[in-house]
Amino acid sequence: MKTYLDLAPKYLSGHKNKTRLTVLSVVMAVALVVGIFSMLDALVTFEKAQVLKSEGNYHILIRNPTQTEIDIIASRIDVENSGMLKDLGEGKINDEMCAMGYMDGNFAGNLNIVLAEGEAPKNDNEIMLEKWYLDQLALHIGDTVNIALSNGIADDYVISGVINDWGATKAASIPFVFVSKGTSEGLSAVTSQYFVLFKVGVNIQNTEREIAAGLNISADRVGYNEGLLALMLQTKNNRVLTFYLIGMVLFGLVLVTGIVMIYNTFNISVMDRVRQFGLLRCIGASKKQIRRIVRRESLIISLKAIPIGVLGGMFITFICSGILKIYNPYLFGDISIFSFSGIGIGAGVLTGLLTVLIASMLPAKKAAKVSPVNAVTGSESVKISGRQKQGVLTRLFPVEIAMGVNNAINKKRTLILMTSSIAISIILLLGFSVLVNPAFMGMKTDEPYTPDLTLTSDQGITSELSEKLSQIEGGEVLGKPTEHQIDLQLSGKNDEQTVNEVAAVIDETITLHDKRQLNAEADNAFMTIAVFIYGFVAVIALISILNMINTMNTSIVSRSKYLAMLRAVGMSDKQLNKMVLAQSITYSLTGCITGCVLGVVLQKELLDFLATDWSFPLYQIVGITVICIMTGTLSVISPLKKIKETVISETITSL
Amino acid sequence: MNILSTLNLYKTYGTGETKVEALKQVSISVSKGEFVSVIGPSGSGKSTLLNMVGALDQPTSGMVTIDGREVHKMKEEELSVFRRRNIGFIFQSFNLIPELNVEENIVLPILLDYQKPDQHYIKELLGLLGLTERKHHLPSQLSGGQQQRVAIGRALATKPAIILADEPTGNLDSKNSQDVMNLLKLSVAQYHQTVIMITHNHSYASFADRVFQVNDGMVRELGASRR
Repeated sequence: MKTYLDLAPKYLSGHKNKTRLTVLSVVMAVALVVGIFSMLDALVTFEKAQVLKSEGNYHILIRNPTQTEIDIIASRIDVENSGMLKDLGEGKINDEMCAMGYMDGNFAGNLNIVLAEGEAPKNDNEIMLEKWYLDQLALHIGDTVNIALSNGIADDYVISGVINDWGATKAASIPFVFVSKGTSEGLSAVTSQYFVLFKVGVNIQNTEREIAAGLNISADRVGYNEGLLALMLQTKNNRVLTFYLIGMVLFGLVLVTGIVMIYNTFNISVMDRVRQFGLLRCIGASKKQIRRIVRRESLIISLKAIPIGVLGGMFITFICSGILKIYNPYLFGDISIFSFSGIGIGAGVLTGLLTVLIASMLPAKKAAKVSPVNAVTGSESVKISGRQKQGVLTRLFPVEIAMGVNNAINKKRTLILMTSSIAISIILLLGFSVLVNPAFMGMKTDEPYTPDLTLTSDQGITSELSEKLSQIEGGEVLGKPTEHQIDLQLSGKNDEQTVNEVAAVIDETITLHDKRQLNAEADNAFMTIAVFIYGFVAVIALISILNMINTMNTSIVSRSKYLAMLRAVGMSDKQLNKMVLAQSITYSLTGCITGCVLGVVLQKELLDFLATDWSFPLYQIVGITVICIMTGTLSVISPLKKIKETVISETITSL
Repeated sequence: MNILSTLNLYKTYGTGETKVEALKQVSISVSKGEFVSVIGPSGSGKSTLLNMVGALDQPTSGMVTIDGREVHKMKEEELSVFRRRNIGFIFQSFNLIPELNVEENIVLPILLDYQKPDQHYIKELLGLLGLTERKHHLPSQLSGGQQQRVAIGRALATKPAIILADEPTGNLDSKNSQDVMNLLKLSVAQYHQTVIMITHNHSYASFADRVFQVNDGMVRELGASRR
């Protein structure tokens, strides 16, 4: 031993059991914070990918811009890219209705107009079409089609390029025809939109205001990519801001939970430490030296626990990302499942370090208040409360149960710590469950009866045909077919073949709407959020249960001397079990009741804030109560086993 | 030369109805190299007196001077440093640090003072206490008597001005008690130490050069009882 600070590692390795529990509690708290915040980070990444795919990669758009406006905006230094999309109205392609438009080539990729084959139309007699339409009519690049423009002039056009399918046009069964710039200029546009993507780091709200003011663009001509701006925290949208506020409350709560978890574990075994520090004070340690020893200890604990916690948190996020990637490898293919979230890890490390430091300072503070000699002789460690209530309990229950309940209730400090530990987890759980709500997520869920294919006809569908359709393998007719519409759902096996079979039995009076891609897109958006929100809830529940077991363990281990004394005066193992169990269930119940009451209040407040209906979460509460009692029971098993294995005299005489 | 003196020492706890006068008008003085014992029934104020002269607690009024320094005027931080250099404690229940071995327990006060232990002196102490063979043992591997000897070694390590022993033999059998008393005596003689010992045992009290009796917070000296 070279310096008095070596006492810290020696103390920790001398109390392996206690140290392990403390480390574990820090690990869990850090894992919770890292996990939740990394998941939030990953959620933003995935949502961004989702939004970029569905809404496009732009920030704002100007409707019906003048050429001057375009020139000025395009030349701004803070604009990364910009481009025009024109809706040129309806036209006819080979006498069938089609939508016509023009897109600036440099911005097409940003709006997910991706060239699959060939090239964008350059000459006035060239066009670009969607892949599904080409497949449906067995057309190829270089083929000629007859197109009647919105101005009524018809001509032959050459297909120069093919773009990937759009869910919406595919479901509506109306092909989209892209024309060249020259052709578009000859037509009057129904609407034209000028999309603008700013450079990274630009304050979009300010810049947009500046542009609008400078060019005198009225507010109704400016549109926003709300989804993307919301994810970039650059939104003015009230609903999104409400969402963020609730997110802040909930994620703030996660931080508080992490802090409470660590703080409580440290606090429960505080009395032993008061004695230890009192002794050090007697042999000449100053308060500052004790603080240093404590700091050293917390440093050691942090160094052990925080890396494990960080890895744990990252692992949780890894699982969530993994699920999403498996679910949609196409959309999320570019996103790495090994996400390294700076925010998550930073928040976790900071919470861990600071809380460990602050929480471990407590016993030192307490020890400093007690006269060192008294701390050592233990004359102030036992406080007997004035009132004795045990009389009532012993009449109601056998003595060991009465003692257990009494132990739990009379030790106010431990009661508060245990109760708050359990309660905060429950509050968090009930709070986060607000998010598990499709309406709140702003998505329509893919109901089980959403059709994959819809057949429509103006001339009516014969019952003969619906009979035929219902016999096709892999497809199922939904609901009651009407004269003009039949909905079909596919089984998921050999869908392509089924679609072909359906296409074969229908004639040209019937239009086939393939809604699969559209459904999948809606599904995806829902799934992305759902995986993360259920992930949040699952992580919180898991960590809560582990934390409860750990806290219970800590409280029993710290009272092993007292338990040994009871065994010495003749308490049987069975009675000991009952007593400890009674105590642990008392904690579970007080925590459960407090947590449920406060959690329900929080839930109601959050939902009121969102102006969403609230109903009493009966099932949640019943579930939580059952889990609490089960966890309370489970948590005493291992520490009790350990206590019974040790020799009574050893525990009593050991300091 | 007086190593310790108190003048009109008062210590009261609480106010009004619950006011307790733990020490009243205590004026004692102890010379360097003296072995003094303090006796008295429980609750008489012995421990309070020990807290005062051990610089653990501040008196309500009065003066405490140790080695020429006025303890009652010191600030908390100053007191810890003073305590660490000038006062060695020995307790009834040994109170060794369970995680440290014998040698480490003994040198801890020196380390707390940011000094390097004088290996020669520590070796000598271990020899004197009969612990040379056991210097790498943990307290839990020692008998009560051995543990108390370690505590004495710890108290002597910094060569303090005063050693305060609170019932040092309270937890020991007569053979070990005798050993501890002899060791305390020896340290007085060999290192010219000053020892103040609280005890219930009148026969051990008579080991001392002088005996103080505490009763209801008042301290009086019993006639010199040198053997």
